[in-house]
Amino acid sequence: MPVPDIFRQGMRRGWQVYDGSQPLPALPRFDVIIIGSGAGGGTAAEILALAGLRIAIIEEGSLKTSSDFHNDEIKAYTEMYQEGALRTTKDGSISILQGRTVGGTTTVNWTSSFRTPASTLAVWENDFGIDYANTQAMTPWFEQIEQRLNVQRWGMAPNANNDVIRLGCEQLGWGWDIIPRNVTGCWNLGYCGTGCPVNAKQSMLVTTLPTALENHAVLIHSMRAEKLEIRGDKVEGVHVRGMNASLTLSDGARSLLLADHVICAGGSINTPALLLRSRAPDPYQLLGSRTFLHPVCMTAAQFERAIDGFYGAPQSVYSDHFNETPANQERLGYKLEVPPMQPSVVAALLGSWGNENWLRMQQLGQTNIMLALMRDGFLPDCAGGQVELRSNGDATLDYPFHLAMWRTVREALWHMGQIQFAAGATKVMPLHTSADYVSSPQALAKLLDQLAYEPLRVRLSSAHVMGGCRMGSDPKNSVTRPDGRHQQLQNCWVFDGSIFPTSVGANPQLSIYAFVAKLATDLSRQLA
Amino acid sequence: MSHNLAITRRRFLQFGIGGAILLTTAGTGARWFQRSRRQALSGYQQLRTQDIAFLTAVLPSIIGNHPQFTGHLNTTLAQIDRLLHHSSPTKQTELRDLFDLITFKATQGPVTGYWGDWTTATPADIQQFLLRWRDSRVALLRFGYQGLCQLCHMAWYGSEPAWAAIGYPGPPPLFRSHT
Repeated sequence: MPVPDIFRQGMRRGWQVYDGSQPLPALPRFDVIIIGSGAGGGTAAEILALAGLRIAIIEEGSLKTSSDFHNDEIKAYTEMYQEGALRTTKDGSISILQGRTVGGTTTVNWTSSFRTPASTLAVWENDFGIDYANTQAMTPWFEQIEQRLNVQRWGMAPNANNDVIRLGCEQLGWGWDIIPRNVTGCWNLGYCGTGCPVNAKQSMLVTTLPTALENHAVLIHSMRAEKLEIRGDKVEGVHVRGMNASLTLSDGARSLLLADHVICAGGSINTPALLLRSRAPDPYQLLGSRTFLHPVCMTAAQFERAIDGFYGAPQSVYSDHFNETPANQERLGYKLEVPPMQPSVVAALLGSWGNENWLRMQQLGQTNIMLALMRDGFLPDCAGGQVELRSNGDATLDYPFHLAMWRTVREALWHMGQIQFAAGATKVMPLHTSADYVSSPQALAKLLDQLAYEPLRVRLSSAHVMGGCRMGSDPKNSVTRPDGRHQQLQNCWVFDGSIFPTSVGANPQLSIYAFVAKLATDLSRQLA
Repeated sequence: MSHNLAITRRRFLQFGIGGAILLTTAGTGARWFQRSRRQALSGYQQLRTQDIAFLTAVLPSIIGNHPQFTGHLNTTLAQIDRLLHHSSPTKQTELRDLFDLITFKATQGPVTGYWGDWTTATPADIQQFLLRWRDSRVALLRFGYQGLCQLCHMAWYGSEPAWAAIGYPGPPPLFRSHT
């Protein structure tokens, strides 16, 4: 073990951490139960525990800590991601990467930490009546979190995979910048997505959850919140059930945990699903609607030089050159970044089969992949997806793609290819089932003219799920109030990315931390 | 029989794989319920005898000429099984339905275009099947194509024996699991 496992050390000192798949001790009534231990739940847990409240955190994922992290893709995908990293939208067309472990997605994300863009805040303030959604009111909260999680622009040289964005954009005269990351003493290994083995990533696992546990919080992992016990306009408790060993379903012992207040922080998709299963009041049929994904399309490029994108900070350079929603609203804005290049996920992305896939994989070390994450939720006819329940109570997301989104895909593929060629790529390939590598921008333009833009032809994925319980001042147009409280339930709060009324337009973790820090601080003052 | 299959094919668009199988079941109920191979094969958590036979037949075509693959078919099958075992009831059902569609005699021919025994399929047969699904107008078959290939590629390239030949040195030794 190269570094001390601070979480296991804390447990040896007596932190109250329980495995929900095993028999639980008798538990008292809590002041607050927090459902979910990710960006929202972790942030709220620290603030409320420090305020002296008696809290319990329930997490359906299992407990994995630094000594469990071996940079093994399959191990990480199966143990720490929702649906073993095989989660997709309902029709299978968009892959969704979301964490399912103590610390939630923050344990496995790629550390990019952007403040909410001012143009996004303006929509939330003007169209949804969230009066503090502006730079002036939110800056102190961004600063507080940036200090807490050591968010700083990445100081080391970007790896060659990220440097493609810088080089290409400089050649083309397009804007680019360095990504701020939440790391302390980062070893620049490149395996953020499989859990940080050196506790450098300032995820909830090593920051807010330890503080909460030091301050007498109780954490129960491998335990699913199946349903809220609702009577009238109050939540009286949470029906929980232990998960099975493979974390696919809850088939263990059941209990009813009681609390004065309940905070839902299971993240988008899971939080709306919990409220749907609980038959929470939803007089205007809004629950689970306006769920956003930042849908991602990608291009691969081969270089003559080494790229080795499987090593080094996975995300360190971005471009916002196309990230504002254009005035004509014919397309969405999109942010340009790169993914880490470990072989299991890259083999799936590069597509095709047989020798075509094998030839592509032999060039892994000289290959760059670029991605465009589309800013959904800002156009009237791109209103996101709808969370639904399957017959067994599990959640799924129905997410339609509209014309403006396909138009954006095509334009983004073209711009990313231009950046890659400008950075010296010899070949570029849009990730599309009918596409292969082409050797010039002219050939790429021709290829993009020929491709069909349809689900399950264009390779689409998402690592950012937002919305579904949107905040707003108008109860007829929102699931939660601007203070995060459920519009109809007096003691139920939603503190996670599902409260956002649109997508963020940037990797969402810092937005979730900052909004929840503000809302949880306000709540702690009310309850203290 | 052919009438039933025509309905099956037409209804894919509306009902999805599960619906198609239900329709097929209505026409060939007796044979369906006589199928005994519904349990995972010993040594596996999810994959059944017919899934293993099918995957064993198609994996070499999906992976291609990777020099290390031949000796590691079982490693790859175990990784596929592991991915499925940890996914979700929904994904497990989707994949099981997909494998049923591909391996069940009444549906295999019409939906895959290959009517013979998978264990004796030639690379050309498999090539044709994959192309047919990749380029299908039916989104469900394209989903099947993507799901099948992704699962096989993720499983194999997530395995250490695959790495040397693609120039991936692997994670730093200090952090590797020694179990």
